[in-house]
Amino acid sequence: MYGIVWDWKRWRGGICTSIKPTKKAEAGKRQKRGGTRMGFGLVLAAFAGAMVALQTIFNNRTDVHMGSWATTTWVLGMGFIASLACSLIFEGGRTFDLHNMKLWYAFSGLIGVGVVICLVLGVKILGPTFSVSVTLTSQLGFALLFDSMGWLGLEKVSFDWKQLAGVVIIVAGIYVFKFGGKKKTEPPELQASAFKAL
Amino acid sequence: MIRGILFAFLGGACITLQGVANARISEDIGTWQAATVTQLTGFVMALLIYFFVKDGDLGGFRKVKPLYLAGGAFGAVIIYSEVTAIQTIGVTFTISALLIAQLCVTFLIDTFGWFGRPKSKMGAPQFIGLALMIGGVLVMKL
Repeated sequence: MYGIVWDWKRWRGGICTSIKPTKKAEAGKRQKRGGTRMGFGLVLAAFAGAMVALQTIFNNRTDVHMGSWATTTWVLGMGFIASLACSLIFEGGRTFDLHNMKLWYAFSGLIGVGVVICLVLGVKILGPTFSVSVTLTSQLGFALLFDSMGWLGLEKVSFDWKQLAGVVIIVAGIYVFKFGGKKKTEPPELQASAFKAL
Repeated sequence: MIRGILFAFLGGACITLQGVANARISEDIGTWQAATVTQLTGFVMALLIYFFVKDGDLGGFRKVKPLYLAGGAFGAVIIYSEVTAIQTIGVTFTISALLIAQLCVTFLIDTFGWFGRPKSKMGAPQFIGLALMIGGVLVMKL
């Protein structure tokens, strides 16, 4: 929760105390800061989404030659190497400072493997359109659940009907998007794969 | 049918859970480290499964364009951005914006037939769907 955001908050805090703003200016600044943070977060999330889309398409190309599990192995291996490299560049020696590490952290990587199994089977049974729609719906539903329950030590965001309404509208959009006639011909033999799905 | 829905549903739950777990782990050991650790265990597990089921061929990478093979490396920046977004604006906003951007970019690529994808025409339902989704995020921000 307090990685980048925390540092940044502290930095702003330093500025604020040094110029001693009035209460009103302080409140205005806080509001503006809230807006900037929202924009910053949305841009990051959208960037991640764009990269997921690209990666899915690239993986799909790999999948054709290697099959689901060889592709998954390759993708996670590449991701590991890239993350390690970034960690060494940006964190240096702190990369191996894992004294805060709990045992379950090591196993959380298995969730990703579970994702692949579920998506492959879902697409195999339901076909990509229906399966992906269900997956996206469930993703959003659980996002709302995690926010309002504050599970895993997340900052609890109090449940809000606006959020639920927003999620329902987004889900409706997903179904219109996915089931609205699209002129596209996909070779059916390639569809039963996780990387075809999203 | 029910089984298929269950798998697709569980898959979605796991994707969100993965993001939240990464955000949690990042608090303790740092975001890049979290990405490194989770992808390492995922890689080992996937490798074991691959040796077990033996579907496909890991050696097939020689036939794949290097650009496409490099796609896996995006995992690092994807996890970093997602985790930072979750820590900044919460899970619901993050997943919503992520999915919308994902569908938009996929659609853009399909429209122009980039990366050897079969071209497909963007239809009215897709525009309406995307508009609805963006409208949903605006409603959440009201």
